[in-house]
Amino acid sequence: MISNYEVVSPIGDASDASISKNETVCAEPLDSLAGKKIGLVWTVFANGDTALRAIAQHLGALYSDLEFVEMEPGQGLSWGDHPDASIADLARQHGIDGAIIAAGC
Amino acid sequence: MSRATIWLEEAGVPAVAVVCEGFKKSADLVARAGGLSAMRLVEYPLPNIGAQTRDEIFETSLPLVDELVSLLTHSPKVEAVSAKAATVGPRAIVFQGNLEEVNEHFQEHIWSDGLPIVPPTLETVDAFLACTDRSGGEVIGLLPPTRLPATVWKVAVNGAMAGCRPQFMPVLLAIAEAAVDPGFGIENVGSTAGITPLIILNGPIGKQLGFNSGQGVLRPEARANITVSRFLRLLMVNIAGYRIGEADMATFGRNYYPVLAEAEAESPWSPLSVDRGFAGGANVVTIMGVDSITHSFLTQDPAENHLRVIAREVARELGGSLLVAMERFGGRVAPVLGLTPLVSGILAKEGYSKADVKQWIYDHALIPAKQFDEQLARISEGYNLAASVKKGALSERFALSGDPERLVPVLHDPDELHIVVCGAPNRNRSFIAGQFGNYGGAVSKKIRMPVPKKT
Repeated sequence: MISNYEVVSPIGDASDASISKNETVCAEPLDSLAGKKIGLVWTVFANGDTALRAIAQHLGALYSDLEFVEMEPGQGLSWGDHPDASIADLARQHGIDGAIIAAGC
Repeated sequence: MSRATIWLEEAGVPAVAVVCEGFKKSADLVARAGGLSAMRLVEYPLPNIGAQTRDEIFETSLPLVDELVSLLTHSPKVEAVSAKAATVGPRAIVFQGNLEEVNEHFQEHIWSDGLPIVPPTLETVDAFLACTDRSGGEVIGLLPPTRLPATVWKVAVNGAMAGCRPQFMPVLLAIAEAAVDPGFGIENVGSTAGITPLIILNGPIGKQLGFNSGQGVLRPEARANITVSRFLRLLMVNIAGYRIGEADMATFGRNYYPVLAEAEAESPWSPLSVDRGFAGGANVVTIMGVDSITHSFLTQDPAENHLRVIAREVARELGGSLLVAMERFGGRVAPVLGLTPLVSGILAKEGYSKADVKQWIYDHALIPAKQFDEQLARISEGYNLAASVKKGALSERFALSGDPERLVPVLHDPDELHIVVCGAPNRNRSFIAGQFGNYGGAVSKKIRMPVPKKT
C-alpha cells in the first residue's frame, strides 16, 4: 500500500511576521552628471578599487567638472571594508550626488 | 554588498552597483529583501575581475560607462517580481502525493538539499511543536538575505523534513536563534568562499538526545548529529533563500558538517560553552561559518611535541588565508581546534590548562610576514601588515620590524582559538577548522528546555 501525504510549506512567508518591510523607492535620478560629486564605494572584492578608479577616469573624460570621492563604506570603516548602514550618513557628510559601488564578485 | 546600494538609495542618493556577471540574481534578491523597488545595476563582464590586470580592467570598464551614466540619470525599470514565498497560512496543505511524488515536488521547487525529505505533514509538525512550549507563530527572527521570518512553526517543518526527532526541537530552536543573530551574519555565508556552518553542541542534552561526541564524530551515522545539521541547511534554503546561483554563490562549497558535540565527560578542561560565557553544565549551541576542516594530523610523545605539531598545522591552515590579516572581514576570527580526549589529556597531565595551550599556540603558530603581505596586496595594491598596523587595525605584534621574513602570528590573540575535545578517545590526532570573521561569526545560544505544563 502506498501512503499518501498531505504536506505543508517549508518556505518562508512574509505574512508570518507582523514586522512590516520597509519599501524603498529608488532615489530621483540626476538631471545630468555635469558638475556632480560622485562617491566611489569599494566593498571587499578583489580589484574592485581598480575598477572604480578606471570608471572614474572614463567618466572624467566625458565630464571634466565631475568630482569623485573615494568613500569609506560606513562610519569608522576604511575604503574596501565590509559596508554598514552608516554609509548613508557618510554620503550626506560628503555631499555626494550619486554613487558607484563595486559590490559583488 | 549591494546592501550599500539600498542604504544610499534610501538616503536619496542614486547608486549603481557594479557586480560581476553571474551575481545579478543574488543582488536582486538582496534588493527585494531590502524593500528596494529596483536596483541600479551594471554587470561587469567575464572573465573574473580578480584575475585581470590593471590594464585589462581599464579596458573592460570602458564599455560600461554609457550604462552607468544612463542609470544615474534615469529611474530604473521596476520589474514585476513573481512571489516565491507562500502566503497560504502555515497549516495549509500545499501538496499531496505519495513519498516519491512529495519528494519530486520538493526537489522541483528547490525546497530540499537533494536528499529525500521526510514529508512535513500536519501530524509530523505538530509532534515537533509538542516538544516546545513556544507558540508555532512565534517569530524567532528574520533571516537575510530574503529577510523572511523564521517562525517556530517553520523550524518544526524544516526539522521534520531533515529527519530530526521531535525531541530535538529545543536544539533546533536554539540554532535558529543563533542563525538570525546579526553576529552570525548569515547573509554573508553565501559568498564565493563557500562557507559552511559548523554547529558545536555542549551540555548534557548531547547524551540525552543521542549525539555522538566520540569516534567518527564528523561522520554521518548518528541520527542526531547529521539531521540537526541538515536542518540548518534546509532552514537556510527555505527561509534565507540559499539556492545555488542565487543567495548561495559558493565557488565549490561543501556538504554540511555533522554537529560537533563536545566530549565533555572525557575532557580534562571546562567545555567550550564555559569559554563562551555560559555556566558549566549548560546546554548550548555555537554556530560559526567555517571553510574546511583539515586532515586529522598525528602528534606524539611529550606535550611540547604535540603542541609543536599542532602549532605548525594551525600556522599552515590559518596562514593560508588572509582573514586574520585582513580586517575587512570583521577583524576577528574563531578557528576551532579539535583535540581528542587522549591529546588533551596528555597536555593536561603535563600541566597545561586550556588557556596555556591557546597561549602556546599563539606564540608558536607563526608565518613569515610576506605570506600575509602577498595576500593583502592581491586585494589592495600596496596594502600590507605594516599599513594595517599603522591605521590601528592590527596590533604592533604584526609589524615589529620591516623585514618581510619576520615571523607574525596567525591569530589576533590566544582567546580567538576555540578548543573542542571530541573524537575517538584514544587516538592521537587533532584538526583545525578555519573560520571566516563576520562571514558566519561565532554565535552561542543557550538551549531553552520547555517548561513542563502544570497538571
